[in-house]
Amino acid sequence: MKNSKLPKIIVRNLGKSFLTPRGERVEVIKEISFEVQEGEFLVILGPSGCGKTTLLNLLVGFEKPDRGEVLIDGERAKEVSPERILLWQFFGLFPWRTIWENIEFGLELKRVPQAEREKIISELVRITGLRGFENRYPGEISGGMQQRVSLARALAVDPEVLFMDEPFGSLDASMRKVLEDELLRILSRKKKTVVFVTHNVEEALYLADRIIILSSRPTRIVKEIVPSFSKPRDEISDEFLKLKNEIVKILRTETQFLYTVGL
Amino acid sequence: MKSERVRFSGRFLPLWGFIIFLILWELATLMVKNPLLSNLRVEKVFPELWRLMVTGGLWKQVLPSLKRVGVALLVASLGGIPMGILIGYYRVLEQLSLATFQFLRMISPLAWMPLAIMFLGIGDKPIYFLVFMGAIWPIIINTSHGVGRVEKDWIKIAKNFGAMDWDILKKIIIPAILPDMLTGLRVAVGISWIILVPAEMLGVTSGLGYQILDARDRFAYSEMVAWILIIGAIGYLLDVSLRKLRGRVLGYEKFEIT
Ligand SMILES: Nc1ncnc2c1ncn2[C@@H]1O[C@H](COP(=O)(O)OP(=O)(O)O)[C@@H](O)[C@H]1O
Ligand SMILES: [Mg+2]
Repeated sequence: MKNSKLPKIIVRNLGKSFLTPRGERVEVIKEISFEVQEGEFLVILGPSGCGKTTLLNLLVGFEKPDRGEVLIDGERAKEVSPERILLWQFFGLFPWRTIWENIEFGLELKRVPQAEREKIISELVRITGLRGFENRYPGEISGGMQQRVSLARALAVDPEVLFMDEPFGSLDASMRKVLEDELLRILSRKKKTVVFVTHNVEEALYLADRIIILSSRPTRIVKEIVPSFSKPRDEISDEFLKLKNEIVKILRTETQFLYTVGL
Repeated sequence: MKSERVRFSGRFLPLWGFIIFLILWELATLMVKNPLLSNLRVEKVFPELWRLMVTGGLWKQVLPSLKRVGVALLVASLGGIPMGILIGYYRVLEQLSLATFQFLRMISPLAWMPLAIMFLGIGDKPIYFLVFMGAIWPIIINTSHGVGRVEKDWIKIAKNFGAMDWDILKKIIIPAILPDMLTGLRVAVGISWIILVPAEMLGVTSGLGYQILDARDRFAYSEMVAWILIIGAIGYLLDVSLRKLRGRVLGYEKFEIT
């Protein structure tokens, strides 16, 4: 990563609060600034309820900040865009569409010709391990499979940035492990800028080029960590465990027991 | 072995039920000594039914009836579905209109008959109107209810992939409310078919309702009962086909994510 290059995303002095139905103002994001380089895998690690989903909604453009700005390629993004796709924790598949048709969704909107669509989708079906499930409906397949479909649907429109909101948070530990490996494998073939949100320390350490640790609400950046050892990482290696302990310690002081450590 | 037999007989139980119904009917006409009732016996009615089928007289009456129901349902759907979507979407509209719709829904369409004839004259038009007045409410109410199924997240996701308002209507809202729309349509078909018969007793000279009166005036009581059976049979087939259609269109429903 060359530092001279313009960062893909610049987040500058971002602040956000909500008005509750009772009329109280809840400050969710205090003030956050960071950058994401092109092709980087950034993990945002923070306790539940600290504002991670809110932060992603601001980055994608579903919400407007109270203060500060989000710059994409140096410019203020006006609208949500297929160049920046959000993957949802609960997959967000359309139950009335088959797996194939779910992946096709963005291609229909882009009016990609039929022949090209088929080429794109069959490749994605292959690399996400969905072959044989093309004609099933989302309700027929497991959560792990559904998240693969969600990933394939996002990759189909070839976005510049993938935002992932605890995408494996609802899966059991072994399925999560499988999907983490698959995600890294797929991204090694289709290079993307990724902003990945999780509350799971091990997941963060396993995936990240760089980790930003958030405090509990109102959230701010507590620390930034760059794991120096290369992927794929061994979760029982000394360097991994050492860094993990360091992060857990930080979370413990910053978040009053609200952190979670994965298995 | 046993479950096999149960399933086998289970499939034919509805048919047995109908046969029992015919037997009870026959017994009733045998027991009550009344010259009129003897015309209604199974052995008199079914030959009439057969005659109507082979001479083609049946279709001459069924087709106009189906056309009237079809036209009325089409207009009711064209009006009711967009209406239902709007009401489901805008809470103000819902609050504004729902009570009035529930009120109108409780008025038998036949109550409008004199007005319908006064304003629309004699012929097919008042029939369209009366059937329409029966069919429109379940379509509106079910469609608007279906809009409640549309999850906000789906719309956000669609926008993320670049969907405009029109795409969201076409690719999210309509597929999402289709189950309720088809339920509404099925209810509407049932109501339409029931309203049709009395509606065809005014001022038209074709159709199943008209045939009941016509057979009565010719003192052809066996034929009259044959027409009654035909009305029931077609209504039943309409309902079954709508249920089948719904099952086919909504193959995913049994796998719905909860
Ligand atoms: N639209 C909203 N209105 C009011 N409060 C909200 C809204 N969205 C989020 N919040 C509040 O902001 C806080 C952070 O939420 P969220 O971003 O979902 O956290 P996380 O994803 O880290 O678990 C929560 O306390 C939540 O109640
Ligand atoms: Mg969240």
